[in-house]
Amino acid sequence: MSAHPDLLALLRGELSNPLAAEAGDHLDGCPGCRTELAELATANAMLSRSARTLAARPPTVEAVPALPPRPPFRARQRRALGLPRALGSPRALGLLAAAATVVAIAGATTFVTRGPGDPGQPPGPQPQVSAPLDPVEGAAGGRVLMTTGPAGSTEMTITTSDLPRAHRGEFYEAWLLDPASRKMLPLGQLGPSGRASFEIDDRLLDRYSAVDVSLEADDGDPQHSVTSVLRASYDAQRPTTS
Amino acid sequence: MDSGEAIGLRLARREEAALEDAYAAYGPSLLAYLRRYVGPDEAEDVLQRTFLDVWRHSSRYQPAQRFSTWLFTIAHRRAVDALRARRHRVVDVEAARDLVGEDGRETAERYAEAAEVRAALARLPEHERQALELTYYAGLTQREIAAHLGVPIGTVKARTSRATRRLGALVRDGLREGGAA
Repeated sequence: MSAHPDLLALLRGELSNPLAAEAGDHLDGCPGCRTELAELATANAMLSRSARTLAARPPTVEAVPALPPRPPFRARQRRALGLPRALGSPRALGLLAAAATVVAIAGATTFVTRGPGDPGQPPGPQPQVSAPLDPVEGAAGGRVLMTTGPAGSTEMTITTSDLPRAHRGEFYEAWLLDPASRKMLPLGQLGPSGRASFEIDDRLLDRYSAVDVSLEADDGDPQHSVTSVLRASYDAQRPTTS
Repeated sequence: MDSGEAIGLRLARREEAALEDAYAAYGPSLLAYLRRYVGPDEAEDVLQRTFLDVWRHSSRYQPAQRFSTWLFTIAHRRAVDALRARRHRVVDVEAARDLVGEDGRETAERYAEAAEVRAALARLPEHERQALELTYYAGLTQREIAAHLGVPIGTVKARTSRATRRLGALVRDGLREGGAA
């Protein structure tokens, strides 16, 4: 009979296929190993389940209905560019995002005054992307419009309708979201009329694929509140930059 | 360290040290459970409120009930309270649905079982506990553990195998003692 196999390595999937097969052959003729395997398998099952349960990520942004998956070519492009899949905890992301100064909040009328129908002005940029903001909960709606901005940037205008008026001490905030990695970047507050415009670096915009609007408490916490109210996916419509 | 049920009995006798033992053995697992529902920021506060309730109501603990189940039932109620206290008109319905009702009770029970295994680990000798934590909770292979600890792989295999059998026996004994149902 061959030497007794490493049964725990067998259970943990650490053996190559030939070694696992060899262990199986050994078990056929070794009652002692079969008894030991049963004992180890019980504890292995308990430990594996415990580790899987306790290591589960808290459902934060993925607790809300998922957006349609991004087209596969985008994922390949992302990998080719060496872009990260995830950055870590939502709080860390919030702080990281707060530290970044690449997003500038433009005035709420930026897009409107440059619109194509404005008399006395040269024809303005046509929307590159027009994506509906769908309700995550409730009956509100809206639209995200994107046009080419100056020097490698995009002008994004968010318009909402029927959002419940925020209570005192609360406000609505817009975020960029990558549903696949749960990465989020705060853009800024929506105004009292439910509108906001932002000038965003194209390279940054490429790293996300959706816009999220959340209800936030004015408590100094930069993290997403997990109370998403509207979502729009722009990934499939938008030409990519590199 | 005592088994969960032994800690529960000491708590019922109002032994303050038992509260510390319960916190050490089950606190990390409870925190993981609470983070799932109330988020990382509020989880610590809800954990404190949970242990406050554990101490206040410790005389109600019945040894026929698994201690981990009793703990997670209290944590579950405090998590529901925390979500209700938010008073947002727009709530994360999926998270709320996951917490209350049958799904919520099943999840609490699953976490209670996971915590029972984690607590049993703390009762193993240090080098055996470390071997299992690196294997299961850090996901390292035996070869990686040997490199990490700077010990021969044969030592890792022996420790892990012995620890696994010992842990299985501890959990099974606990289930027999503490009303496995």
